[in-house]
Amino acid sequence: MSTRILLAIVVGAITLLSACKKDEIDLATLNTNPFDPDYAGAPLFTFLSSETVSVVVNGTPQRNLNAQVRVNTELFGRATTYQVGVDQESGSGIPSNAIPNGLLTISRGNVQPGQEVCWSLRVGNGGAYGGGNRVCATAE
Amino acid sequence: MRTLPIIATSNGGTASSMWEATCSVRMQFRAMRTITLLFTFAAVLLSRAQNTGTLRLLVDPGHNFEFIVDKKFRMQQREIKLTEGLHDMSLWAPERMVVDTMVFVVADRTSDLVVRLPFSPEYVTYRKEIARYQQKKRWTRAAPLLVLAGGLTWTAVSAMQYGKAKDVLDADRENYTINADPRAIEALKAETIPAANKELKNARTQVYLASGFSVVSAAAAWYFIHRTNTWQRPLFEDKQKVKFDGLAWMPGRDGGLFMAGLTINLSK
Repeated sequence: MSTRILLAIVVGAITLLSACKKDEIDLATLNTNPFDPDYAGAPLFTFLSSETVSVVVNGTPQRNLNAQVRVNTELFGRATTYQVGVDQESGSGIPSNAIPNGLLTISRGNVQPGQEVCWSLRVGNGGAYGGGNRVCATAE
Repeated sequence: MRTLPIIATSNGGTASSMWEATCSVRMQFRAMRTITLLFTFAAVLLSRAQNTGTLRLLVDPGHNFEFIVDKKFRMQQREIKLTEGLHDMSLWAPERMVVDTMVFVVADRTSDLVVRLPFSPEYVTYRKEIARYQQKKRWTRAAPLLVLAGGLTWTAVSAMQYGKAKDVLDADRENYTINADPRAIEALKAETIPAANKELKNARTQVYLASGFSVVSAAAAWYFIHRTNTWQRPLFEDKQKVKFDGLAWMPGRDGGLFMAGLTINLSK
């Protein structure tokens, strides 16, 4: 076997190995899935609008704050069913079939005018929740 | 030739004397004829004594043998005409021993001389040395090449395992991207991906080790191949040829050796 062939084999092997080199997955940077509890991407919920309505509960008048929120489903890795958890770590939430066109309305009762109300919203499935963000609205 | 005397007489006695002279001449003529016949017979006998016979040489090896007749005439042919009688034959062929033998050639007949020239001890030794040399050279070259082949195989297997580990990791990465189950994602990040990471790291270490081994093997193969190229091949010194020739050129490492043989017969 000539020296040239030997050299070609070695150089080819090294080049091939260098070209195919791949690193491990860095778990610290693995936070792009909205269903990941460690999600750190773009906000999944966008506040659209709010309104303060007066209602009578057990004969007592009070004010309720309703906020309309959009669920940014385009951030999901694929089209899927989901749940939205409001101020909760686990348990059943609002199913996606109850959120037409990704538009969700959340309410907080007995608010005072000028009071800011925040909700912690998270997406999830099977009673477990992943990423989310806070949405705030101010009562009138 | 002697001159016969003629005696002349006056009383007729001259005739008798003439008769005697005639008889003497006849006898001398007969003697001359007898001598001539004897010479002729001797010449015929001598010519029969110079008659030749053919000697056919059936020698192994048959294609390149040479011979010397009566230690004088060097020839290279399969048949030879020799005078009748005993002749000294020295036969030789390259790589064979010189064989000396006596041959009796019969006139007007073809005789066969069947000889098998044995291999010379120098050639037998040379064959053993060259076989040993070739075997050593072959193994010195083949062993590092075999090791290199093993190293390349190891590298290929490691690279395949590395590829599989990468595929598993890519599948895990894809699974993470599209998964919509937070619990499954937690399990993926806590167990599956770390295990795949570890597998990839091990596979990569194997690839590095195998590649390094292959490189070292290739260097060793290159070194040994070049080193064996500088080895001196055993040379065959045909001492029997020197003996046969008495004058020979012996090729050698530094150009060769010119050998001359000189024989002085001190008995004369």
